[in-house]
Amino acid sequence: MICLVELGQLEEHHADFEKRNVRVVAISRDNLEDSKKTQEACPHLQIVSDADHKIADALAVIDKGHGPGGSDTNAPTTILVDGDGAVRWIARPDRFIVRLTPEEVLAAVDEHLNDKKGS
Amino acid sequence: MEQQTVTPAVLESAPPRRLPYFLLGTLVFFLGMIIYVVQMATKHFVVPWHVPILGTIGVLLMLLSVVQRPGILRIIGLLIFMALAGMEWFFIVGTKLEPYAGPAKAGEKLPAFTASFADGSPFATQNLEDGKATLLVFFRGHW
Repeated sequence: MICLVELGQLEEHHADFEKRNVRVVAISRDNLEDSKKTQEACPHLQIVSDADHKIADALAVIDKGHGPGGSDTNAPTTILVDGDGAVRWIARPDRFIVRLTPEEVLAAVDEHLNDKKGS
Repeated sequence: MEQQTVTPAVLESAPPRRLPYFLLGTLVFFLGMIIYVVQMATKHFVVPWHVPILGTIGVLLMLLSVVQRPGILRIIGLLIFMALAGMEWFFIVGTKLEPYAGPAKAGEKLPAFTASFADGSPFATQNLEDGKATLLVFFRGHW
């Protein structure tokens, strides 16, 4: 539930991200059906279904054994990518019961996206 | 002589004046949980150290009560709350995440991948190279 609260907070701040020309893509291991539900709840975010955890494996954002029934799940991780597809910032809370606030994320966007503009 | 008269007086009056430590301990124990619920409701996602700390203080108060007036129900209650406090510590300590050490690195492109958006359309690394910046948020899903 905390995860959907996190997305809800990003959804609430969608105008702040649009103003910075940043789209928010939220990725989980949910199947398409569950991802659709999340998409309905957060219409301004782009929800991605990574059911076969290809992205999670490629980027190694795996939290072993902390999913439902001791399964693996996505470790809460936030990656900022610039318009050319290059990574600018990676953040992960030190505990999975802690999340970045939208204010922290927006501050990081301002710091890491704008400092190299035009380079 | 004076001591002899004072001591029995204290003993006689002590039981009714004794603080309800067990009740107090229970209240302190649940206070931590109540604060956590308020914290969640107001979306303050910081590490809730207060939950196991208040839980432990609560258990110590209950222990005091059991030492003063041992009783089977108190002892059972104490053991239950001790187990709960242990779980609270585990809840905090066991939620530690490893720092990110994966292949994604600042200044470099992401390794190639493909997945799909909620509407079924494809999502791949190329989608991130159209001039618009992207915030990728990995979350734990719909549960």
